Amino acid sequence: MAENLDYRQLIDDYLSDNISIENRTVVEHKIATEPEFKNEFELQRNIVNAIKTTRRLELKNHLENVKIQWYHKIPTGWKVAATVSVASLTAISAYFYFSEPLKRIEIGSNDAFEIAVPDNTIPQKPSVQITEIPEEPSETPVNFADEGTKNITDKPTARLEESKASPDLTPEKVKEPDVPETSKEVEVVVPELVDEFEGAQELDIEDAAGDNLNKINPVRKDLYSNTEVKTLRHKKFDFHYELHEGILTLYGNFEEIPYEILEINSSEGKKLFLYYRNNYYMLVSTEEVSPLNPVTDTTLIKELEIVKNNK
Amino acid sequence: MKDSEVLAKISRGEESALDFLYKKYYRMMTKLVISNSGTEDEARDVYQDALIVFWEKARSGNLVMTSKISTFIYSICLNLWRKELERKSRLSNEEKDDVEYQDLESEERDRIIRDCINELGDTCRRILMYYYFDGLSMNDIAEKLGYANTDTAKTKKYKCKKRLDELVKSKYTASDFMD
Repeated sequence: MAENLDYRQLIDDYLSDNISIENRTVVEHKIATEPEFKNEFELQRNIVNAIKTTRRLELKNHLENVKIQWYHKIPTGWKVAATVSVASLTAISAYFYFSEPLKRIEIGSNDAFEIAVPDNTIPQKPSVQITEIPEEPSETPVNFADEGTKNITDKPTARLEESKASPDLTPEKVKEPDVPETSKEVEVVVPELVDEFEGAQELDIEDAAGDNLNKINPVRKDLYSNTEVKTLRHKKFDFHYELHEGILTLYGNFEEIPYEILEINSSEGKKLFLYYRNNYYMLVSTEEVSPLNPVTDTTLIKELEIVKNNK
Repeated sequence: MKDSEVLAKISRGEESALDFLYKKYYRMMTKLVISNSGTEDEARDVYQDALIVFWEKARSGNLVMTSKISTFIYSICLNLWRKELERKSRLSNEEKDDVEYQDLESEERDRIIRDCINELGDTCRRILMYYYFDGLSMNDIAEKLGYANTDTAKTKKYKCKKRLDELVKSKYTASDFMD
């Protein structure tokens, strides 16, 4: 029995190629001389071959199920079309992906700078917008875009820390979390007021204004011109003007005596003139504050008279 | 995947290497057969056989690569297709009856043994295939099938082989095989 087992093991080793040369010789000798051993060897060889065939069939079946159609049957045209489609989709997706956050930031920043004005102060004005003005902090005015708000005075620059004293511009109402208040300058822009608006009379920020602050006059839009006009009292500049980017700033006491802005369109372009106290003053576009000098050309004065009278 | 990586995977018995080669060279190898009077089915059959031959050789540990894998597989495909063409030619010229009779007898015997193999459980079948075809060591088989150690795999293999022998012998007497 043990001998039989040894022979089986020998045959197994022989068929699996794990046999020494010495034992190989023994097996081959037995095959040649012992018919019974030979029969067992043939049986075992057939079994091992069948096992190998089973494995081959299994591997073939496995390969048969590997999807290879995609790798060799797709026409080049389709590949190009697919590539173009993917590239287009990627570009479109990237466009929307990168453009949308910008829109959100824009909205968010507006929201952040919005100040809610109490109803009992300015009923028709839902909000006052505060924007950062980087240049000349001490001379930047607080503007109210309406003629009917003349009672709002004397605050060319409104810093947030100063506005703490104002009942209408309390820090709680300023939604501006990330910017230090001490370095902020604000421009308060009120949307156009209706003529019958009376609440503006009650709006008074004089309490917040110090003695050194200049008086603020509202910005007005001349009836015959696209130029925005605002008047401003300034310590340094008296009877001066500044015309820059369609905004005319008149420095001096322009509240008490009426003035007019004349616009003349000629072949040389649009020219602006100020009529004030029976004198005409030519207004040239300039970024610097310039003194107002009266027009002396009599011909021009006559023309201006005609224009003024025909208005 | 580099050739060296493919061979490393095959040495570990990872069939994914076979899939990779199959996809990568499918067009090249089948074109060889198709452009030499073969059908697409024959081309696929030859290519699959060639890959399995390559797998066996690589698994045997006796393969010394002196060329790229693609060149080696290409030469196997070429030889297999030549043999197939010779076989076809021989079948069309010789008398078929005797050959067919011997083939049928051999096929029937193999089919019976394969049936017996399939009667074994999946684990037994795997152990025997890994041992006799893939040439995996007992240690590798233990690892692949999650056995605690090599001895467990050895015992399992012995029992599975014994069971298969009994099954085969129960269906046919020795004289049926030893003609």
